[in-house]
Amino acid sequence: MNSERLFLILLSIYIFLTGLVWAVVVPYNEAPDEYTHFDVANFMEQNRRLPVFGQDENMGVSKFEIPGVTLKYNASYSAMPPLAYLWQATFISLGKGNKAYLLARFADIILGIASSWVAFKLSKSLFKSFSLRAAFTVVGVITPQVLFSFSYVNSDAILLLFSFVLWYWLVRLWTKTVNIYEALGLGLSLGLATLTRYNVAPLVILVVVAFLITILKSFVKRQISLKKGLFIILATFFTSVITGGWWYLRNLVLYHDLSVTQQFWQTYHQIYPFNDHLNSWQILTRTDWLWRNWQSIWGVFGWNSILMPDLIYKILLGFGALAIIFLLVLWVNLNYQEKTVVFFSGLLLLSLVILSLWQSQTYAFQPQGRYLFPAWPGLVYLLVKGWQQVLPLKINHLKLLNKKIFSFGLIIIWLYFDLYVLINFLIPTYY
Amino acid sequence: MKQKNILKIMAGLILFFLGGFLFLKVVKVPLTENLFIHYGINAYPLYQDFEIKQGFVPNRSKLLGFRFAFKKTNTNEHPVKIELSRETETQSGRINLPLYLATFSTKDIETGENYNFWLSPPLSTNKEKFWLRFFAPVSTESASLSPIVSRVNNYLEGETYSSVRVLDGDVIFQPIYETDVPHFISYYLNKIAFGKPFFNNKFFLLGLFAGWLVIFLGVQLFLMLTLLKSTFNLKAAFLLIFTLILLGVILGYQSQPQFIFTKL
Repeated sequence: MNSERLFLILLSIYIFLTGLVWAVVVPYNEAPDEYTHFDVANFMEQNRRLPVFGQDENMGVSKFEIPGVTLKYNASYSAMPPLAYLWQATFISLGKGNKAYLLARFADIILGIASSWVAFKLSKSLFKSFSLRAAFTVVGVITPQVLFSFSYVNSDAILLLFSFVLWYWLVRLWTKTVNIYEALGLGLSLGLATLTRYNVAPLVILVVVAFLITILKSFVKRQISLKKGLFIILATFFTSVITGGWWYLRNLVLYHDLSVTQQFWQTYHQIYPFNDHLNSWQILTRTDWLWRNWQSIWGVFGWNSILMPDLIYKILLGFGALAIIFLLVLWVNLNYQEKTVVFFSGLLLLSLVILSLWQSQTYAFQPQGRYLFPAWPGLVYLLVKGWQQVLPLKINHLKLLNKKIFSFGLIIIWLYFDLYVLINFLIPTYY
Repeated sequence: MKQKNILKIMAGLILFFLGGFLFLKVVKVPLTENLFIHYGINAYPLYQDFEIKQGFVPNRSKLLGFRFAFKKTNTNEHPVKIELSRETETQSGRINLPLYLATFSTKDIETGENYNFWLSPPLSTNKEKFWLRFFAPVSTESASLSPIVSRVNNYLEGETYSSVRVLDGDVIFQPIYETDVPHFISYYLNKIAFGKPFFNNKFFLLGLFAGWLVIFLGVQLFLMLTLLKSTFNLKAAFLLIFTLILLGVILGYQSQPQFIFTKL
């Protein structure tokens, strides 16, 4: 067995067992909106159909927050894209009673394993050495916040998986054109991604633009004919529409609203009045919005109430800032593809920050790093690529840090990072 | 097999079991019991004539200390005291016999942080009732510190009083006991297993943790073997190990102050 296969097998078992340990240790509903997510998946399993927002009232936020209050609509997640819940409902159907929530969590652990495979596949397009690929994969899938997302019932886990899938396509499309079979795979990926969470939209748009540019370039270079180019575009388009479009069509028919977000937020604001409107500038300058986003992209647990010591987030900030500085200072060392991926990473991160800021300004003040998850593979790339620029690190011809030592050191630190969170925060908080 | 080899194996086995026995029975570890998970917070700032008392019955034989959290209502600096006393039956009725006293300043306290207060020396107990008394004799009504008190009564083995009345909730506290490794592991396994689907048996749960530990160490072994297979710089490897130890020290460093209960 070669090293790569052995690494993936070990990592898969690690994610499975660590995810299971975390899933057992964290009590039910001790994670953001877990009951709201679980209710939708459980409804699907019990009724063998999708819930209708506003009609299938016995689920969601208001049931728990304001006992006895009946609202026109319920701010349940039945309005949210259904892929995560369909996947979890499949696992819930394997057992009844109080086993159901753990089975739904188990479904998300499987998504974690799948994410590690896709992340490693993506890493092959990004790094030449095995050690850097391994470091990229490990940081991508076992960072505490990511591992936490793979161990409770939510829709972020499936978003993470499809973020890695779409990032794979993004990098792949920039290097060579697609054939008709790949077009079907791309269409399927895009369609399924639109059924994960709405904040995947900037990544979907970026992939579609990259796809159209690639086809156009291939046509200009006469690598494909106009007829074949159009055929590939139509095949991708129809595959994605058939896979994901039905949900949006259903929304239009049932609610006359493509995303049902207006009705959802109207109901939400009846439960949680939103009076403290700040504009984006005020949010950035008068609140700790940015810092809380930074904290919660690495690890904030429970209902966003269990934080690690500030020192940890500051160390991570230093680690990240150095990576960006190395990238900028040694920009000329990057090849065209690397520069493009760095650009995409920055662009996507900026788009998602703006989107999240808009949500905090318009609907609810929620500085949560998970809203930036579609940019997560790009962020991890920036970190690893940035540090790669200074490797091997030499002082007076003495090689202090090479790729292998850096990568394996990073992996070991990340393993202990998970252990640290489990022993110092998750177990002592609840037991 | 040669007699010499058999002796070596037997010596190894004896060392293994002796070491295991010592580790499991002789090594003592602190166990912090989390008695409160979710609670609404009430605060009662302590001042000259206003104190708070919390009754408490230890459920293990050796008490090492307590963990408390506080709420600060202003930035005034003044000393605060916590007294631990044992409830004792006498001819004239029940009295509280003071045993330990901890004194600290409000300037060392941040709202919501947990602080350990260690008993010096540790206290052997036998299901007796103890009282924790929080008071700040030199502060005025602009007092700044309150122990965190829950809104409802979660801890049923001890009452809570202020100077003026019985309180509905409990002072949030976590007793720290001395225990051995098997009891430490058993405590957490029982609590985690309680009410859980699939893993409601602590031995099954122990199997999950053991499997996880094997893979946790296995991944590191894989990395080490991969490193050893290739040529690498020995100095760099030492640097890596040094960095990891440094990181461990930084993470393990307790930044908040630790306080001492001194024996009266």
